[in-house]
Amino acid sequence: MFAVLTIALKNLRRKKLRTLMTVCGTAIGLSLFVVLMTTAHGVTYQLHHLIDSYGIEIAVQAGGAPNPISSRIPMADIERLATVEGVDSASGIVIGSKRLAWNHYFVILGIDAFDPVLKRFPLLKGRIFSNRGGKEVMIGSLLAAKRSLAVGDYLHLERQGDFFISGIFNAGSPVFDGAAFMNIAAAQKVLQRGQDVNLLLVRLKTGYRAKALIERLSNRFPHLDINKGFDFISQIRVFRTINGFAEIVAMISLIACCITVTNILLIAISERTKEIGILMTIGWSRWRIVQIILAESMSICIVGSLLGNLLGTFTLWGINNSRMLGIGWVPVFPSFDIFGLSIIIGVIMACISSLYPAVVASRLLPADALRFVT
Amino acid sequence: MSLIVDNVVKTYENGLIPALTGVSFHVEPAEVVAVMGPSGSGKSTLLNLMGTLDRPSSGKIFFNGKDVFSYRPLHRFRSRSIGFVFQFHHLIPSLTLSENVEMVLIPARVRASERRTRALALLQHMGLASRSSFLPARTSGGERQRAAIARALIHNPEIVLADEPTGNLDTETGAIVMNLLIENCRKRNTSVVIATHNPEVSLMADRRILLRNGRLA
Repeated sequence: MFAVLTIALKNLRRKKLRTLMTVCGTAIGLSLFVVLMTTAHGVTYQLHHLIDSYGIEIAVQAGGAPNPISSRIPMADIERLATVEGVDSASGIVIGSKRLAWNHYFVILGIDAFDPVLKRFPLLKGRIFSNRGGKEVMIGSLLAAKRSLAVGDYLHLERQGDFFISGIFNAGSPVFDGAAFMNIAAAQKVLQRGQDVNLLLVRLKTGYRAKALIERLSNRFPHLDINKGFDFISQIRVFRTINGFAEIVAMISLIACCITVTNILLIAISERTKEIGILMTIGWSRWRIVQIILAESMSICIVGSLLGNLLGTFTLWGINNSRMLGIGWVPVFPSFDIFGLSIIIGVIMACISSLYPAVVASRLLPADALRFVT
Repeated sequence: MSLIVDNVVKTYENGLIPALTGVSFHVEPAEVVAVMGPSGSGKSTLLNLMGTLDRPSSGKIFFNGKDVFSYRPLHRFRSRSIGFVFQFHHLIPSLTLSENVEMVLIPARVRASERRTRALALLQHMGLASRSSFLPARTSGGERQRAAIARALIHNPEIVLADEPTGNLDTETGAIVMNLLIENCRKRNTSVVIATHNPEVSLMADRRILLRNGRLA
């Protein structure tokens, strides 16, 4: 096997520029995969993780709303929902993004200062914002670091004026750590939500099952979309669309990579037909010749995968530092899952790409291969 | 080793182009046979058939009393019993002379260290010790052909099939290469079949066969 690998690597070194360009092409395709999958699944994963770890059993948004930001739920529904049997507490959340000069998608969350959810956002410094009308915010550590803000400073929200920073928290999720939290009334004003909230988070009393309660709530509030907390993010149409779109584009880029690698291998086989004939003549089996082609393909695709991850990380870093997308929406590094998946995809790509060239090479007859003239 | 070619016919393009027509002869153990004839007379085709690189349209070739094409797998038969030398050395350009020679021992699963030792010893014997780590492109035509002979002999085959081994060399170098080939084969009791149109080369053989238009003359 070592001899096969040595020959394969020597073959690749013979056409250095061609090999380099093929590896770069594969790396670009795989980096696109890494960036798209990290971006699409990163936000979903962060929200999933938050909802799961913060013990939100039921999440409610307005029926038919494609995402929580466009959802509108009257405040009155919070009180009505809290009275339903089995509901321990229901809290409203105002969520939205504000276009600022330094961040086009600055996330603002409005929540009651005494809501138990806030306990899950550990304060690094300062205190929780006040509920009593004043312009106070609690900001995430990422935002504080990016804008060099500290407790006691003011967060400038352009036309909405300056907000006193009462505290700095760290949620462990870049989306939230790049955001600002304020009381519901202030958020409604800043985000122009009138008297509505975007989401309701429901906790159950002990002994009640989420599925049964969802059924009861759905019958009583047909204008609301009620889901289990963990399923909620997956049910958001916009996330499903983004994920689906990202997966399709990533798939197309991978197919393009496969075609490129296949084409390069076919060219290489055509150039080396005589050498394949020599190897057959001296007793190399067809399988061993296929192994050389597979080893060449593997080398290209695995190096391409590693470079793709590097390029993808660099791209993610660039996106993160671009104000176009806003702080925290895109993870800075691909997750270990996506890194692992990209390597597995690289290996699968190598196998698929070498399939047809391997068939071509293994079907050669030694005498014909030796007679072959390029 | 005994090799019998029995009434072998080879045609191309669905029988339209005859290359060999009813060729029969035999090769004795340790015998050197020269197959002579002008270009296009079917010498290379005959050697390809004897080396199982191609299949005859009809007729049989027996190796030690057994039809060569009944050996399974054929690549193992080639790697154990046959050595090939071609007109154009046919060394792999990305591998050094030593690696080219070693290649033959890989299918036989010989350990890397032993492969290297055997290749270096044979190359030294061929006068190529100082060139063993050179790529073929950095060596002369004669050196490449000597390396090709080393590759044909390293696995101690029972027969060496040499197709115009001096066709690409000047007379002096050609004579050196032929001497090396025949001398080494005689030492090892290896039979040799040399396809050539060079009368000087044929004089070094024990027996000569003349092919003309695909028939034995």
